[in-house]
Amino acid sequence: MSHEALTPRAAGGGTTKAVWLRRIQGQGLLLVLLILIVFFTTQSKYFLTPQNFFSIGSVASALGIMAVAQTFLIISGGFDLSVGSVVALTGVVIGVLFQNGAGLDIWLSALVGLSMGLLVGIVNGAVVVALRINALITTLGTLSIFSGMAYLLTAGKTLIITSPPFQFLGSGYIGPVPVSMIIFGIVAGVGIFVARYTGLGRSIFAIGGNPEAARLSGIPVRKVQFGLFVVSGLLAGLAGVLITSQLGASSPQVGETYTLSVVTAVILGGTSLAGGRGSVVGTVLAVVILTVLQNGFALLQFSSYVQTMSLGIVLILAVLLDETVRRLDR
Amino acid sequence: MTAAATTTPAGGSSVPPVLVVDRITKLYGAVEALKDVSLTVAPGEVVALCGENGAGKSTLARAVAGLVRPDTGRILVDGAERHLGSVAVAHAAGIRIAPQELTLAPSLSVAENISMGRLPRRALGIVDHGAMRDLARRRLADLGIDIDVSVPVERLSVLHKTLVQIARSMTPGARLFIVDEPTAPMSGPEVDQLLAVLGRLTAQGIAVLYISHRLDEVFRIAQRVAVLRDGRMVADFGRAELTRAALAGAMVGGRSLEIGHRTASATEAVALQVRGLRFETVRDLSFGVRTHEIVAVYGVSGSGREGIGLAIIGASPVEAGTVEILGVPVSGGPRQAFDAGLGYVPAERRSQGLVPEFSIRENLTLAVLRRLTRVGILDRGAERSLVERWMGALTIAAPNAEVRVMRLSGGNQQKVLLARWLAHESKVLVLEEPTRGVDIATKAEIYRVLRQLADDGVAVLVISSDLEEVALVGDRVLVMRNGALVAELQGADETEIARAALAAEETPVVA
Repeated sequence: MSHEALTPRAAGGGTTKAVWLRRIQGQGLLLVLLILIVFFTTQSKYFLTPQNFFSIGSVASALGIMAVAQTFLIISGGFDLSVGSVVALTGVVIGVLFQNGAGLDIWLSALVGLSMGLLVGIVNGAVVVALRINALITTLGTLSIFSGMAYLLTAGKTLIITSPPFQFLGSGYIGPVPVSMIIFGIVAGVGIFVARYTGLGRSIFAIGGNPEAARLSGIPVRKVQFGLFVVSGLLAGLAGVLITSQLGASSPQVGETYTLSVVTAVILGGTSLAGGRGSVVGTVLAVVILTVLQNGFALLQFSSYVQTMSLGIVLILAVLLDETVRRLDR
Repeated sequence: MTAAATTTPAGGSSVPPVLVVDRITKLYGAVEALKDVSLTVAPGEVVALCGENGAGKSTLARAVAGLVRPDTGRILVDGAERHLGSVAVAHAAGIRIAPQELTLAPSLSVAENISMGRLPRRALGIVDHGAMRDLARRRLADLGIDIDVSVPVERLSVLHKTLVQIARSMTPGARLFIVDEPTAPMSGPEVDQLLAVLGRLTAQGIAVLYISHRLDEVFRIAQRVAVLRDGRMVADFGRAELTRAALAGAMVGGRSLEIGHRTASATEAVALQVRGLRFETVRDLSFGVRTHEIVAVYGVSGSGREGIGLAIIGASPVEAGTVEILGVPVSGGPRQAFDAGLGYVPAERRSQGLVPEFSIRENLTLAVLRRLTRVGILDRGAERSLVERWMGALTIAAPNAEVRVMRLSGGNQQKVLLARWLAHESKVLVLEEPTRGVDIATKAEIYRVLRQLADDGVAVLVISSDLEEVALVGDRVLVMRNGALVAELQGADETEIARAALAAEETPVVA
């Protein structure tokens, strides 16, 4: 075929239907958020208040920090289910070392707790990248290993952590803004910047889109993949520190729901499970939506079990939307 | 039926044709994959469909088989107009196709594959294995094939797999059998056997539409040869008027792919030096490529030619040997080789080359990201101007650089890959199958670019299974056989190269 023109409608990439649906996935998130806000405002007079806004922000922070890292990992074709166990292990390690004042210094304990995340990230990265074991299986394994370890360390008990300076990290405010929200803001900002404006960001998308093409273009595929697991572990550790600080206590049960909500947020945010496509902004919006949903349900005094159920439904719907976009795109 | 005029659909003979394709057109966007194409096939006739890559052969075959819906035109089978674009209708009318990529289940037995989807059953839905094996044996015997029906398909040779695929599609009611490029991975004797099987089909009155660009086979089997070029039916030769020159001329349409040869003087530096490379079946591979020259490596499938590119750039494991790029030894993987000044266009455009989600721009700059970043941040302006420059230089046809690369034609996709390494300013350029699946106009352009690069002082290595290509572009042609370099030829034609590649035990594919 010597005529190498393009179909006019293809000029943006994708079929019209796929473009339309991807827009739903992107800007549609804003619309969904708006609808939720209007709905909950009509249902509860406590919803649209500055206090509640910042309360949502501080709850969203831990989830958001993990979800930003997970976004890059899934874009690159990886996956990290172990984040929930990192949250639990980090908190438990802090509690065990601090001994509610009788043990180590709280900040030293927090640092060791944080390094647990780093450790889990290195283990995940090494197993997936060096031993070439499927990321889903690997992190399902480490999820089990490190939650087990958290239970073992405390014999399943809850540890109280009373330390006002430490609590400031998770529950304190600078002016009207929660400290945890500022930390989330920084992580999200860096994430958005890396995705959009850096060579590393471009490389991560390339690896997810076609790892062999990336490798044969000189991108250090394995190094980047390993690094993303480490970052995911480390940021899960940071989230664990924040959660521990917010609760003023730690328990091996704390992390359990996080794995599900992190993955839900990333997929809902429009990142493709198949890799190569995704957005940090989408993830941040999805995190806010999930948290608003949770907050609104709590204000309406819905059972927390209903909240868990709704999370599952949202996850499946998000994957369905992703699948539809991809099918129409081919 | 000799030399039927291309525009009269109904033919002129007394036997009604089994297939009439009447002026079909198929557009992919603005690209005319088929334009006013007509074709008739009589019962029991073998019609070969020839043309360069991208000429529209497969699109026509798929249209006849109902896999592609033409935009305009009619398709008649046994005189009755059939619905377009329905596999079920085409199948019911007796049209069968053996696709280029076989669709067998490797772990299932020959008998299971042949009966797949229509397993003979006993009461309670239990599969009747005896009946299934009998059916498979009967089908194979009809075609004169003798294969153990209980072995898994994965243990068969390529020929036998193809034959099983044919046997599977030969259900009762078959009227026309379409074979799409069946012989690509086969040796001479295997081709003979395949042609014999097709002969049996025609003896049963089944017509064959044989798609190939191997003139040799076409001459042996076809009663008529239809030639497609750029989506148009440009010639329809009867057996009597068929000559190699006429056929080749019709396929390329007078366009020249010649770029001329040039003998590199011994004073030119050896930019790529390979010494004693050993991997897979390849033993002690040594050669050099000088600046200003194009060296082509040719070998049939299985000669060891396939692995050379990846071995040179360090992307696949080697047991021994060294590679030097501009005098610098490299052994640390692709990244190190690229940093030393090497560029590499892989054989498989889709699986090894392009990132499907990326735009032209993002694909084009993938190998130079580090050069375009300052403290990790991409310089968008520099990226844009680099992309503009190389899109222009290679005349990549697209409205802008933001178009998704998968929306381009194969030829333009290949140009994007080439541009990736031109942007990298490679001093040594290794290309595998650089024009596989691209149209002839792009092929000519790519050859001209390679010549220009060599003239500018780049050392170019083309590794290819395309005989015409190596003869056209190679200032020197290195021939591989059984894992070793067996000949170095200068100014050799296709026949000489083929002879060196096949040696005594096989007949050359080009006479």
